[in-house]
Amino acid sequence: MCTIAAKRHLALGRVVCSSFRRHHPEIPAYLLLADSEDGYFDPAAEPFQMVALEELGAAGLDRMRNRYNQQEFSYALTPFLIDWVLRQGMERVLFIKQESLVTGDPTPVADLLRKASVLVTPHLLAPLHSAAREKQILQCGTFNGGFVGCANTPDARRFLDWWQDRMRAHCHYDPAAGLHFEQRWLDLASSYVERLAVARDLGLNVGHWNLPERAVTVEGERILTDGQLCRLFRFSGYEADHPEAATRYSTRLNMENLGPAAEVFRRYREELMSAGWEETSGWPYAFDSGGRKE
Amino acid sequence: MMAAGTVVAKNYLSFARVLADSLRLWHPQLPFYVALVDEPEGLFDPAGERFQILKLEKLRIPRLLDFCFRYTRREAVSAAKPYLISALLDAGHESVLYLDADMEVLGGMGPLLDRVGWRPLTLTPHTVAPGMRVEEELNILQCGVFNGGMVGATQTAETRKFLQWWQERTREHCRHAFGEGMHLDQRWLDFAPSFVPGLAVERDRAYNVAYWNLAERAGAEGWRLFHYSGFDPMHPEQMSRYWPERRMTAPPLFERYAAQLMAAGYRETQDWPYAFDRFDNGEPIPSMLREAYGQLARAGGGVLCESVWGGDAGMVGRAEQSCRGKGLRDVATRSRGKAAEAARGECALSRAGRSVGPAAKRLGGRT
Repeated sequence: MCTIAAKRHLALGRVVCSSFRRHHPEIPAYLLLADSEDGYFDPAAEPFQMVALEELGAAGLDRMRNRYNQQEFSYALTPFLIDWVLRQGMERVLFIKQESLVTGDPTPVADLLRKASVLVTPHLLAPLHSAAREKQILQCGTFNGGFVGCANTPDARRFLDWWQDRMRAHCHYDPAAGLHFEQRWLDLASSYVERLAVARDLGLNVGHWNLPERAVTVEGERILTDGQLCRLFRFSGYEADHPEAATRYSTRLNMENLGPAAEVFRRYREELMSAGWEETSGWPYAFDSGGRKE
Repeated sequence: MMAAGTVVAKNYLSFARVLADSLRLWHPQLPFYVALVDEPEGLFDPAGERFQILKLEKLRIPRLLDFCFRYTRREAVSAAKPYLISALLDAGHESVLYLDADMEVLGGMGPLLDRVGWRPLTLTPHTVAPGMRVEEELNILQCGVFNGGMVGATQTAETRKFLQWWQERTREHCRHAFGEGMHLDQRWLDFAPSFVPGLAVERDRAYNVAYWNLAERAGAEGWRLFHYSGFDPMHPEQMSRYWPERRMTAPPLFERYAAQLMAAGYRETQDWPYAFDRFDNGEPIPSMLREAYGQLARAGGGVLCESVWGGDAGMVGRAEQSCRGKGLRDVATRSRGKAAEAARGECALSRAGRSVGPAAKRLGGRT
């Protein structure tokens, strides 16, 4: 399992890795630091194995660092990290985006990678009653970049090579041009991956895009979505400092109208606080002098 | 039994003829239907064509007069696609192979037809391997990952559910507007992997060969279904008007196709007018008015109905006059106001049962 964070998001990285390790302490959890450590924390004391940028051994990272702002750079590194994990000799790897909570064992889904090269998860598994919300998803990409799996096959490596190539200069937000960070490119997995698995698990990638349609229930420690085990809850755009809103990307959902899902947000916030959010969120981004001029 | 079909306005009739001939050559048993999003207007005899023509009202598009008023010819033809597929399934065909009219069958498609028959939905991605320039790839992302030129559908509940949704979307949102992430009917197909568990992604490079994937499909002898998207036989040096910088790389094929189009009456048909380009009184519908009407209707303008066709000639004149010499934004605002005003007035007439214009009569009074 692997994830990516800058220092200021280290608490998010800690939470996603710890929550994964609750289910599978034996599976290595890697965090790529899209930043430099600068003595702010001790990697040896973290619930993940830290991967430094230099360890990726990828050419051209300096240029990317200069080209992109923190968010773009962090997202653009996704295929580089997946590729790196496979090169460590792993047969399969799951990438989970930083702002996530593993609420149930995700590995049964990852088993799809025994027969497939790449695993993706759609934002939606059924139409919404709103064409406007569907259009927004078309602009962002139909597959969610928060949960991507790869097996060590030539098919997957070819896809990763291409995705890395695109990430060198085309990880921006520009929906009219067909761009939405790293995620929109994933739509082409249908074209370029011969053995693509589309995970249809209602417990995956539960987030603002499919709420409140997916019915969340909380039974003690267990979280269910549409009656099935919720494995991965996503907090895309959630800000611990504005806990009344579900996401900064839309005003549609808030803690008042989320129903039982609000409890999951509340628990997530608690975990973030225990993981040091208040401290880490103030840490600087080492490459702030770079970044794209908008 | 399987059926094949396409959708055209009558200016594309020569394309449909060439496709029909090529399909009959390789698959003589496969019935072929052409849905006409238009009216013959005495310019040709539907009974004299070498395929069965489905009249627009057979497609069961809800509120047909609104549909025809709202969309341009290209949009309406695109939006009708899922309705045609459904209509053929409704007619009892076990499966349907939809093909764009600007395609030609170059070889036996047996393996494809077999696969289409087994799977709820079959789509072809624009390309099947990396290799495009990034600008071309971005264009694909704007247009949709799957090319809507070939769609296979089989009679299953899963298929019907998808078609029902796709129809609802093309009924209201079938526009070319990259800024909104829209590209006609096609962009919606990007949801197929999300909504259709049994989706088959056809990766055989023999099918839906077109200018965007020629580079990955060397060896023309293996091609079975070619898509001459954007090809203009009057400009045979250019493969597609959609990608003018791309040079012609398969001249003999295109030359032969151009000759077939000519033999099928291209010169005559290409200039045929579109029946829904005019108000009932014959005045042309300004495209800005169409656009404004669509915006109003999408915004929930319950007052809009078939009687906008009623040809309040003054409305058009006033809208045009007020547009003259003004900026685009101004045009839109004014047209919108005029359309709403006219629609309200006309609908009131319609409710009073006093106005069923020629457009409504032409379409059998269906709304």
